[in-house]
Amino acid sequence: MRNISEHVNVILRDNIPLSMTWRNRDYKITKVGLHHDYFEGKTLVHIFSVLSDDLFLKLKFNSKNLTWNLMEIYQT
Amino acid sequence: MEFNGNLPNIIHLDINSCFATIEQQANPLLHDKPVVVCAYTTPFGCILAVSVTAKKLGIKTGMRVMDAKKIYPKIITLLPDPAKYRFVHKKIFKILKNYSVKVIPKSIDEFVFALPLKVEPYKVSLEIKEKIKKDVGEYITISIGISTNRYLAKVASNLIKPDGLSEINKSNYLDVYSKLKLTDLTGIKIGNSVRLRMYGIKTVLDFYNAPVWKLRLVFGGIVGLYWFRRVHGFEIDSFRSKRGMIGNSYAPPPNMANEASSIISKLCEKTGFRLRNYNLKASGVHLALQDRNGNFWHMSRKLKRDIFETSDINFEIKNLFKFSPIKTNFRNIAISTFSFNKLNNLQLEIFEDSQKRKNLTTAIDQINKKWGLYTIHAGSINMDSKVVQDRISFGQF
Repeated sequence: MRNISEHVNVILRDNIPLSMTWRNRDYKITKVGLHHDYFEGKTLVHIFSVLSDDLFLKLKFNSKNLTWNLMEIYQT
Repeated sequence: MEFNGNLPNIIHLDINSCFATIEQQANPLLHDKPVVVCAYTTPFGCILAVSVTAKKLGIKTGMRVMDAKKIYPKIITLLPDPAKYRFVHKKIFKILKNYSVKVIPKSIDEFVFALPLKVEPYKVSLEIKEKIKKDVGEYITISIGISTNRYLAKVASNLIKPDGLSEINKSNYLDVYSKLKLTDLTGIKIGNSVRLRMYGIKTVLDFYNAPVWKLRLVFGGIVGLYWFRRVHGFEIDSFRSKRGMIGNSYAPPPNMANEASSIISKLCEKTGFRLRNYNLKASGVHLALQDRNGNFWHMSRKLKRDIFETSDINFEIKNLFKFSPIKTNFRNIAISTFSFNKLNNLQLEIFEDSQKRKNLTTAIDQINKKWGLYTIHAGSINMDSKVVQDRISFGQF
């Protein structure tokens, strides 16, 4: 598991991530493992634990400033 | 006394290998891999949860990471993510509320509830399993136990793991009991099994058939009667226990083993916040310390006044700390408060305005609730954001 914490762009459909752009490269989301949310103070954040083929990505959406962050990656 | 002939309508639900399974649900690349969730991923880190695959290799909860790595060097070690576990807990809680008006969470991964008598528990249990797979995650498995009381429902939930569904009722209890060892029963471990054996109770069937007077001798009084009624399927565990203490503990990693002051301050902040959340004030404090050489010391003090502010708790705990012979190299630091009164009933004081202090504390708590715990705190408290991370999944909602 590698911590990243970098800003990324994410395309959603029906509140599910479809693809992510990170460092000028597109990653197609192939599976959503878990979507959970919690409050950081009064800000609701959504965490999407997803797969892009054999790459695991943990994406964080801040519902206050509407930004996406790539938190972690993991590859077998 | 015969076994309780009522329809079994008590359900005990247990999430299998809870933390590890939720991590595997979140990251499908970890499916069917030996995964452990541990307090720290360093060699001395304690394992908190073990995936089903890792359990098959012989890795157990409570082991050190280095011992698990001796068994399987490529074991995947993860740090806990309490927000994720709370989310799954709440989601399952919500599902269960559709089936019963009174669902009681027993821990982060256990629930118990009674179904209405007209409903078929076996059918409902299968439905709940399906619903959890559909709404929470397909990798999350649960074991369900059905019986006439909470205790036997819990025992039934342990019969088949993972993904089990078992029932203990009037028609099968003899068969189930004959296959169990005494230590398979919840609450009967080595100490109790030795006591039972001393009185000639060697099997679960002996336990069931033992008369009340004998069990009173074994367990020393009324507890014997409780056990008698439990194994006969009658409910004796439905009382609501009274809260006796509120506290927090922390096992610092080796590099923080000497930062007692910061750790105590943060534990006091957490404890004070919880105390006030329950609308309570305390007139007793307790401090327990353990160092890495195995030395243990603890002390409690009953106070002449009720306290509810973090700074007061911190002051009293630090006073206790002065008496401690253990000053460095901590393995565990635990603080608690006890002897509670309702916070509404404030005693008028001659020299201080306690109502004013309460208003200030309430305002600080409201800010911290809105913006996150530790956003603001008294300047006198030594607060370091690096110490005492969020480890407690249960009870923080």
